[in-house]
Amino acid sequence: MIRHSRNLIKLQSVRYASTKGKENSATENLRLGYLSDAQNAYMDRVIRVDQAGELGANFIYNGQYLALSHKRPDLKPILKHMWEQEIHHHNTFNNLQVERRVRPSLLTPLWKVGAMGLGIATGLMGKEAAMACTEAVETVIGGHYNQQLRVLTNQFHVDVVNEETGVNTPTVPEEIKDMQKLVSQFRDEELEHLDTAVEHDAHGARPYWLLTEAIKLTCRGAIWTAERV
Amino acid sequence: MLIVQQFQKRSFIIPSLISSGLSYLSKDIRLADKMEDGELHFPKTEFEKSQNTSRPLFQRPEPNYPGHVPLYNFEKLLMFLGSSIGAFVNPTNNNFIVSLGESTAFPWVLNRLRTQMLNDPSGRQILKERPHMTSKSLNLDELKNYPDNSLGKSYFLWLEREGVSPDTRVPVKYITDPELAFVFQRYRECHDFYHTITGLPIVREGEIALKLFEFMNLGIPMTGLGALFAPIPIKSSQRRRLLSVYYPWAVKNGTICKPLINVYWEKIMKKDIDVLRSELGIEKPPDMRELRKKARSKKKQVA
Amino acid sequence: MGGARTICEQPNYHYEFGEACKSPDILFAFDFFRIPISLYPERGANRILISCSRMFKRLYHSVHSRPLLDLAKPEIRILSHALSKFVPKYGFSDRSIQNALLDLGYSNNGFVSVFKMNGHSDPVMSLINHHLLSQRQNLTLELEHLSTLKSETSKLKHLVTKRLLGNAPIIDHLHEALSYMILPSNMVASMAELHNLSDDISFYAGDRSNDFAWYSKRLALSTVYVQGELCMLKDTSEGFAHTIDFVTKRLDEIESLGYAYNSVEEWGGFTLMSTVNLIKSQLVRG
Repeated sequence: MIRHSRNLIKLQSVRYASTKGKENSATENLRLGYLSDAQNAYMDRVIRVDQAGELGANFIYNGQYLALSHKRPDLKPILKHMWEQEIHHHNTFNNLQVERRVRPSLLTPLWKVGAMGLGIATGLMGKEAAMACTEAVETVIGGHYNQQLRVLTNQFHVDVVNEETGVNTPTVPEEIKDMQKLVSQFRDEELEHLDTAVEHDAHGARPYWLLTEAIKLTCRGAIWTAERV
Repeated sequence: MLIVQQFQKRSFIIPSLISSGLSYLSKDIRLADKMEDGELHFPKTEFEKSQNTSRPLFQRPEPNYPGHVPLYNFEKLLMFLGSSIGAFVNPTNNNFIVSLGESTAFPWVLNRLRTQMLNDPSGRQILKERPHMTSKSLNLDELKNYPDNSLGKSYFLWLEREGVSPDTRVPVKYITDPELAFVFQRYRECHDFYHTITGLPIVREGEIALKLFEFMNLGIPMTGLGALFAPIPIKSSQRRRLLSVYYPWAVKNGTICKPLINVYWEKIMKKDIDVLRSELGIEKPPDMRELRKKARSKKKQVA
Repeated sequence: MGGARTICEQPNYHYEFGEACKSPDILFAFDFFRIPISLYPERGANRILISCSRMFKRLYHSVHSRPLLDLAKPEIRILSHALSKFVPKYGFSDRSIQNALLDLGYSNNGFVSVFKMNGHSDPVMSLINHHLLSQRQNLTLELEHLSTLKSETSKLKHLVTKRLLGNAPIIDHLHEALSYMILPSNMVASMAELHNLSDDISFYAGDRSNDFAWYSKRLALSTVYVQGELCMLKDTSEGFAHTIDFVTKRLDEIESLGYAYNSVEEWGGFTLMSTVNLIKSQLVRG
């Protein structure tokens, strides 16, 4: 009871089946089910953690830009471009969070401070270190988005009952398909950032292994926390 | 304003945070974790749909392989308790050791062994072919004609010396997964070969030393338990010899030698045993029967 | 709710509230919502997912909520009837439910099922919970009016006032309801409902915060609401004018607090930037 009454407006499945391209849509009487509690919980988690993640990425690039723009003006266009894409991602998830009435991560100020600090620190360490940091972060994020995509693809079917025949054909609702496309598009952009970083001499950072593994560990820990808190 | 002063200040923030936050979030977290692990809403494959896994209560699950006796967890626990006490008190009764081995062969242990086998070419071959050792499959009659110092001849001589046969191995009954049951069966059947290659006899002392060797190499809990507790009730002279000579040998060799579960014994019967030992990284320990004979004769001289 | 139509024709394809659906039953009005700030619906099959240049994102999610109180269920009808007719007289007790049962023509045997079905093992709590839920649901009727108000604070004031006034019919028994709600066994459920209420109010007032402000706003709102309720218990003024005045003042305080915090943050950021630049300029000097 508590769970169901939590939100009046909560993302549920499409009320009517998506009948794009079907001619006999008007005659079909399809009753769509709602997303289950577990599916809603997972959707909330996805939006919360992705919002926190993009916030982190935004602030990391912000810090790197601030630290490096003075010494290496040649890097400004690349960093600016990647930063702007992250801002776009961040705004997307901010809007999703508001629309779907998802609780944002409680530790948002911590992520802000941490990410900014990481960006500035790696920026001050030099171009290679900054690129290695980007590489590490984008690697973790790529895997993370892939995992989310897997769950979104496999486990978000809702019951679609044809009221005349009583036949139930579980389908993935349109919103979830859109979400899949979104996550997939963002994952591709993040991996593009990864490639850019590697291109710009990320492997030249010293100490490479320590830096990348420490940043990956921190990212994974932050992701785990943001998913829950 | 009077009314405002009258109403109490209640401590509201902390209790609300605690009570609403924790219990409120935990259900969501659990559900989302389950979704991530693929336990909920995962569409069933055709195969899974065809499996009829629902069973009325109080009915034992089906056996997974011939000879399988599915046990409930409490039964496994009881078996462990009984066999551990029994093996400690009466180690000569094979049933106790067999049951102890199977009740402590946890899936993660056997999984680790199976992964070890999968990572090795001959281990993979063993898993694929699933050979079962009997006196017929090992061709015991031909083994006596093998060249001296070959593995086959040594094995044959050892069998004769100790007076045992490979047919007396008890089949595995209580392990759930068929492949893991085979892995454990393979371990049981290769036990004699471990005796051969180390030269340890089947007296109590030799078995204990070999148990530690196996534990260091294979990691099976029963062997570890045996190495830990079995020296307690034996003679102090034997225990001294064990702890000073054979345990250090077992620890050293068990750790550094190659995983013995991967060795396809049936196919290397003609190999020279010393060459095999050097390939595997095993040093032969002092002959236990000799040491025991010497100790016995020394005692007789003193007495 | 009619048959299926193509995506293009659905009115609830985009975020809308305040527009009643076809059903005459007013309690289902929340099925369709319209946010005043929403974008114009984009008809047709090509939906643009995200456009960062626009401040308000296209809401490609069609939102359809599960009804909060399903009036088709007899238990819910019994509880509503009890709440409207008998609770003002007999308070939050078994007696109200039993009277409602008999009044609606059910036998007395149904008593146990009324509260067991709702997930509460307790008739009093199920009545109280029903009251909370129905009041929260009634807030959705205000959405039309809210679109005429300009600022977020004025919307908050309107909603909190409306919610508090919703307690008016049962004000004589509100104290027992409140004291029942803070019993440890009921604490979790009532806290959850309080959170849901402040979440709903914040959302309808147009809160779009994305970070810690989300939490602080809701916490502040819960505080104001509880203070308002407690104030209401002793309020004897006409139409609870004193309570409303009190709540309005508190909400103004919260707004100024928020404004103060934002200003301090801005100032802090600016100072930090200037300091860094000052240091840089000194370093350049040598």
